Amino acid sequence: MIEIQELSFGYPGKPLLFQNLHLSLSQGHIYGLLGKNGAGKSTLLKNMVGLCFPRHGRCAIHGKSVSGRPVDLLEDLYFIPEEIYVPALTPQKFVSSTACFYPNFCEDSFYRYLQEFEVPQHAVLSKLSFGQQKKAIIAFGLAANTRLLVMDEPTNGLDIPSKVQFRKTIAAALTEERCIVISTHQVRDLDSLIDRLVVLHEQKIILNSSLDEIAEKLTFATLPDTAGKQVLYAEDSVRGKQVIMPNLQGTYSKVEIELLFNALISGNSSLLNHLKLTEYEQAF
Amino acid sequence: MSRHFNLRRFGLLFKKQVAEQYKPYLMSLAVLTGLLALLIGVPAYVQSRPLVVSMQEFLFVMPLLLAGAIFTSSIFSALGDKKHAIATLTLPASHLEKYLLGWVFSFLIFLILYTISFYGVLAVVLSMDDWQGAEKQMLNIFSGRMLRNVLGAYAMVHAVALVGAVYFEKGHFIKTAFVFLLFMIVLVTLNKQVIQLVLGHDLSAMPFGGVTLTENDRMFNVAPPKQFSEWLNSALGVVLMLILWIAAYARLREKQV
Repeated sequence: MIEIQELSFGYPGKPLLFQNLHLSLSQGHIYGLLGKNGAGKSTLLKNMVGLCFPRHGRCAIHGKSVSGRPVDLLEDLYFIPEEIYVPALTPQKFVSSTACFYPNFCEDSFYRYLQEFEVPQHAVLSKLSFGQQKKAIIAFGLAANTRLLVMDEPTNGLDIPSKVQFRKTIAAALTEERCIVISTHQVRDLDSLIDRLVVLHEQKIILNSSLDEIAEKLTFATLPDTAGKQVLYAEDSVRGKQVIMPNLQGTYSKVEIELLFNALISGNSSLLNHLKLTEYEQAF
Repeated sequence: MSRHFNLRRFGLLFKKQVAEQYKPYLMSLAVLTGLLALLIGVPAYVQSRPLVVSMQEFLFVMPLLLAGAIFTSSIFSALGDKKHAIATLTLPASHLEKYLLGWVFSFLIFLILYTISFYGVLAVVLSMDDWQGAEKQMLNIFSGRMLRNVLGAYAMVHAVALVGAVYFEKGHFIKTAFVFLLFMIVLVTLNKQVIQLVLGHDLSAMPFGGVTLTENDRMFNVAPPKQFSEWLNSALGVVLMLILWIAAYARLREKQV
């Protein structure tokens, strides 16, 4: 669905944020885009939706470049930035003025999502709290039924029950035709939600893999001691050592996204090599 | 064509703009009417003579250009605010439709509402003004020459302000006015210096106008024939205005967040 090829981007007068970056995202998945602060997650998302233009390379949706922001592409994508703008309108009036631009918008779904998120339906959006505003815009984005839904730090400003509801609602909204991309630095908010993990680090995509593929290659465990074990990465925790090991037995363990992310950005080459080596071995 | 302009979509965009902005627009109109009442009412009350047509013309044109420049400078203010710019640029409408929406509001609608507001205030003030037995006279901006001059002057101010509205992110009006003044100073100075260098005389010259020089206590005025000069100035004005409007559109297309 999204093809990013040889993307190089930097803001004017500043060093490049990405260099020769490649990324391919498909329909039917919820992608979690992870990266450290300043890694360029938001900028990458903006490149994806045509809000930034690459210095070099191309970003295309369904084969069409997004740089010109063509109307037919905009009709089929919805972008929710970290900081959102809401007009001084009630949800009803907002729908009446804006939903008409999205051919597949479903008004019933919008009100259902508002109800699920407990957003008052008759209040003026700009007078709601930041969290309520965000939930209203998420509801609108979901109801727009665009094939591409991109969210930048969507859980920022949401309280704990709302985060739980967010995960439930997004998981239920995924269809075979839809591609949902969620960028966050709050890794735990993506737990049990995403099925593919994309990690952006030092100008490159260092991982773009499904959680199933990761679980096939790696084992996540908490051990009292790592002596005699083939450990790729370990972190101290109150219950012992949280470790990542090669999955030699073929058993399935839950992917600890936060642990994996920490391992990847710590410069742990053995882990990355293992993931890549396994891919190479599988290719033959 | 529908990729760049679709009348239905433009209508929806217009409806959205009205729904989201009608309150500030109505407040601005009320303030403008109040200012016009003050500007027209005070001289009519203070002066012992009636408010003659030449004065009415001045009171129509000057506030029009100033208020028009301020309003036009703010027409794309959404693009200066990151949050609002994202919502605006990702809204499924073409750049041309978004540009034309700003153009229509700041040119057509502003001109119409300003004119209605001005004539409303003028009619009230003139009805209360003492014309000392003379026949009351009201400015007619729809006469051929007046309409052409007013539209020409407003279009030029509008074109400059529109470029500033898209180009700058904050303080649109002040920054545009500053750059425009700087440009005019450079243009006038360069024009005079270059002509002086070419002719080797101390002289006075204005851009796109004639040259006046003194030699042996005799004053010479070098200028194209009046009709040609008027035509040339009008043509230059139209070309410059079109270039500025197109530049504003191009800048909108290139806008990044």
